[in-house]
Amino acid sequence: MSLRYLSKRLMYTLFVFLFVVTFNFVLFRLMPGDPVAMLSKEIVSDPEARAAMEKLYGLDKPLPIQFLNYLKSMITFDFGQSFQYREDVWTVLKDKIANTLILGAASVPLSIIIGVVGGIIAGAHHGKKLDIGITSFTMLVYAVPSFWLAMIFLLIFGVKLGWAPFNGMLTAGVQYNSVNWAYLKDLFRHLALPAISYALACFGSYLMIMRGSIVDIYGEDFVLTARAKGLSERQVRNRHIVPNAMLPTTNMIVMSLAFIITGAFSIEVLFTWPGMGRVMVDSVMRRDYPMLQASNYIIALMVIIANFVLDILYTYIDPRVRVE
Amino acid sequence: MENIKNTANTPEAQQLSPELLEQLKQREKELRARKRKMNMKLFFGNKRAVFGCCLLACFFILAFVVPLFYEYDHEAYALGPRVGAPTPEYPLGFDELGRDVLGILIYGAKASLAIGVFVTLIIAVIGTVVGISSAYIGGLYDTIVMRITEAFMMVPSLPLMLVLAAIVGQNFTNIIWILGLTGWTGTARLVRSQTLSIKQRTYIERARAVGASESYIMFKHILPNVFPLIFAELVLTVQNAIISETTLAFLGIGDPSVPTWGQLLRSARQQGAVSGGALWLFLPAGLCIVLLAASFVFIGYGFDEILNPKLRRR
Repeated sequence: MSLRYLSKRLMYTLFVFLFVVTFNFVLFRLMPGDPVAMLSKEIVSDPEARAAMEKLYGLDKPLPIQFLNYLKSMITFDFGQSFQYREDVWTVLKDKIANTLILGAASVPLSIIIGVVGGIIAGAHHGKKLDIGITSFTMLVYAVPSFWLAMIFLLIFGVKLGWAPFNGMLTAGVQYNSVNWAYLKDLFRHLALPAISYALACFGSYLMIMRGSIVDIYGEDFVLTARAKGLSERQVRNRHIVPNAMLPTTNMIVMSLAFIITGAFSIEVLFTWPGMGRVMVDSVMRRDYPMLQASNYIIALMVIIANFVLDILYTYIDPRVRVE
Repeated sequence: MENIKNTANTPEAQQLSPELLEQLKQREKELRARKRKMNMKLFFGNKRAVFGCCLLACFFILAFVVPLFYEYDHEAYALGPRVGAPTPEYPLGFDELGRDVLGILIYGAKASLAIGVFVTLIIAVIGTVVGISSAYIGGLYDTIVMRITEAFMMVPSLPLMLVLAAIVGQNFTNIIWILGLTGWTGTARLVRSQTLSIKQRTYIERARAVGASESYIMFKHILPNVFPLIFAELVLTVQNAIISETTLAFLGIGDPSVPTWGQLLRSARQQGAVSGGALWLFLPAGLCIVLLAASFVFIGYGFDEILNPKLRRR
């Protein structure tokens, strides 16, 4: 990997970061509304108290200075006090991020596997009944809101069959002193329904992309060559078609990273999973602006960093990127 | 199939002899009729597109015809018990305020269709303006606009929607704007890439050679040729908008004064309808959303196969 490529990606990442911070600043400071109320929750009408508040929050300074202060607080993760928790925003948010990532880490790989395997099967049988069946089913699943699928699963497996708990991340009232076997078992029991329903609601786009690129590659000359060499259909598929078809799919997976973090918000709310989605929704209801601002920023930051890392990794998967 | 140009109306054609001009007109008419026939055949040969259109027609009837025969007042509370079970008079039961669920279901169809149409309209306009201008002007403008679009694309839209809803408020119009303003990036990129490829075609060069102005080329040649290519994508945008609105409403971000399906799902969540067995609160509403969204997905993919000749060959 060339240094030039690396520095180019780094510059771009920096640009996106600055863009996001600026956008957030504009959103929370320049939108119609009372910035003092946004920062302190109280609506202050007394002019003297108001001026004091503005001074306290640095709102009396010129905009560029305000922006620099804002940038500094974002970089140092100093987001102020949450209105609803009456606690430092970052202290509250830390745990929620971890919980959201646990749910994402459990469901997204599952959904990628279903999508890729299904896409290979459909693509290998393109035009046949199996393909039409798989793609039609996928299109139908596309149209299902993830939380509604989760509700149905909850109804069947939670309520009727009693296999899985309804809500939360751990059994309420049980204390675990460390991460031990009992803790993990409890966690997995609670994780199963949200993770599986989220995975099933999301595999559609992976499947369609994978199928599309498989079908594309079937028409390529090197496939003909491979067949002419006398390779069996299975060898052609597994060695020549699938690895090449993985490239656009990998790209798509990278692009969809953001949804690992945010896609399950509605599922978090349904299962009262203590993740970022619930915090953000509660914050909207309670107008907890510091919390909203910090969550929005953190999510963007995670996506930006993940994209950068994957951009670099991508050069190892697709040698063509390296040459560019 | 190549586009059939209206050469009979060009100044060059006016200099032809009357018989030749007549022949030219005849020929173009025939070609156009044949193309229309072929498109119809392609459309009706595509079972998914036909199925999607039929489904969509049902929802249009539900939204615009059924309300003529079924009265529902969103302000009429306490018609029955809270989350009351279905009765013969109210076959789908009651919501948490004792309102008629069947009524919400019927009147909610209009809200979902409105969301789909208006959000897609906003997305189509922003996406087309950004995409075409970016590809057409090029240079530094293109780089800056596309970098911003990509940055927007990278940032997840759901948190942004939540933040916007908290800042600007949650009435119906605001929700439409929020969905539209956060969803245009994909369309803009698609329009840009299609414009770039059309810009290279010889007929653009020809138009320029005969002295057409840049804006004429943009409106008369590029826009009409880009549009069919992004049509399928826009249909899928409708589905996306409907699901996003439902998700927001489910999360509690919605206009309580407008009956929507998402609202039913939210009250199902808040009232514990799943564990309480109040199926009427979330099964019919969810099915409606799935079927309406599916109709757009089927139409979208169907049209993609029709409009995208590369797919057709397979």
